[in-house]
Amino acid sequence: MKVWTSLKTSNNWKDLKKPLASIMHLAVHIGSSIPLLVGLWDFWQSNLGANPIQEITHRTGKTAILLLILSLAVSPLRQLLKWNQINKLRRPLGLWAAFYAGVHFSIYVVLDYGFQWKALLANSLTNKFILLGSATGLILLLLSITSLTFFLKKMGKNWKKLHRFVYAAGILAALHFILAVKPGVLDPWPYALAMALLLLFRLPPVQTWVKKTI
Amino acid sequence: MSENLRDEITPLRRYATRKEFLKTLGVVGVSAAVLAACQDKPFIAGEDLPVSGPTPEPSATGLTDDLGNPLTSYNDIISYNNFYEFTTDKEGVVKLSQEFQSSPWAIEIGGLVENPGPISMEDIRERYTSEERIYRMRCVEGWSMVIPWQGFPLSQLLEDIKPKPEAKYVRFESIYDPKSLPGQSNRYFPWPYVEGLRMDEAYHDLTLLATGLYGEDLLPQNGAPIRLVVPWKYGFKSIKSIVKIDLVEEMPVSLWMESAPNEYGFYANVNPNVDHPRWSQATERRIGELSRRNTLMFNGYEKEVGSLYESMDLVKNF
Repeated sequence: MKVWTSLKTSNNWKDLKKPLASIMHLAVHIGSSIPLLVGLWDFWQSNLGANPIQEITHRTGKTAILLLILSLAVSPLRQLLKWNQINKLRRPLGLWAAFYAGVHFSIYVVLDYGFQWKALLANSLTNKFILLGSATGLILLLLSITSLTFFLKKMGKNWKKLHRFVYAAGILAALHFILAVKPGVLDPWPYALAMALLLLFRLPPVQTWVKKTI
Repeated sequence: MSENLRDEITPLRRYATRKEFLKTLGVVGVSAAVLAACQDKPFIAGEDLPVSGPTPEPSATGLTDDLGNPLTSYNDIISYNNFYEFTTDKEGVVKLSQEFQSSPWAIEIGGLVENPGPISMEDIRERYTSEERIYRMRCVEGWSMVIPWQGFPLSQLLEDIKPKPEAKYVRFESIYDPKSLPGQSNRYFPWPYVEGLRMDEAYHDLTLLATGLYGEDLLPQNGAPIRLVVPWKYGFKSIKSIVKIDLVEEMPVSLWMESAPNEYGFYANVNPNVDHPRWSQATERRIGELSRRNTLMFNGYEKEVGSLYESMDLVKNF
């Protein structure tokens, strides 16, 4: 607790906030491109295992949800550390999450089902987790397009309302992951738990408590 | 692995397994025996050989299944496994399973039989002649393989243990040993793994007790030393590393039926027209291929097993 308060009040920390946020901004771009580069390398080296299409589907999906979690972690961190400068990480993290979600979706449609439209439709329409994933993707696509400064200026108050849909995307993405695995498989739960905590942080009672304490 | 070492070991293997090898010759048929001899390789590896010997050089006598589909590569079969006793990560099983001790081993026979008691793997290998069966394996998750098994029909064992007339089902149980099976600490599942077959399914000639694949003894990740193979049912029915076989009157409740009764039924016949509650079963990916295949009714064994289910509602009895 002492470290915490001293960190918040020290002059060093105040001076560091801005440059550190800029470094992190760069780190977001570098870090977010690593899974893509590793994936391409493993593809090149035939290092994707016995079921490579499923492997890259899972990898891109997990990367997308991880980046979505990180983008949702920015605001709580800003509040807790009184660090307004990191707000600028939200857009790149969100856009990278949407990028991986787009790759994830394209792999499913193009590589997995390879233009076998009938089978693709049969699988997509009967399966809740595909519908949930598609809804997540649509939200992220819409938010990506409107993330341009042009829309931010033009939409005014509505922009903020629209971008609250990222919470819905977070819930849908976690449900999509949970429903995609067999019961008893624990892989989705760390992601779902992180997502739940970050969304709980936004609830009005929690916000009131946070504002009072900080 | 150096070639020299391999050269040294091959004769040893032949020596150690000469008895079984000669026995195999008579059974698998002349052409198979000649082929095996040409490949300078026994069908059944000796038990007294070290497990961590030279990298196996797998070989199968057949090259395709009954529909002309090529075999899945040995490497894919031994490195992509659903074996939740180790981990739910299919590509993590191989690493976690290498310390697994599958010898000595015995199956405890019990329930409604005239001849109960344990049967050791030595007895099983002695008594039942192994033959090669190339089967499609369709996982409920939507992927499939073509696997050349070595094994013998379950019916042969049943004839020896003599089920009593009131027996209606065969109940199988896998090994339970959380110390060597780290996945069994996942308390979500009611371990040990249990599976079951109806009597007519168990006696069907396609139903196999497998002890090897690609001419090698089963590796731990594939269910060593002995497992069930029921090719017209989803892969999870083919229970691995069997330690117990009971003949029972009531339909056994499998691990999957207990874990998720709305998703996994007793029959679990491969059926492209009955979807899993959370995904379609109409198509599958054959490991090693890029585009999807249409899933076949009873995994392509409809001619052989369709009559077992003639009067049954396959949607209700999924």
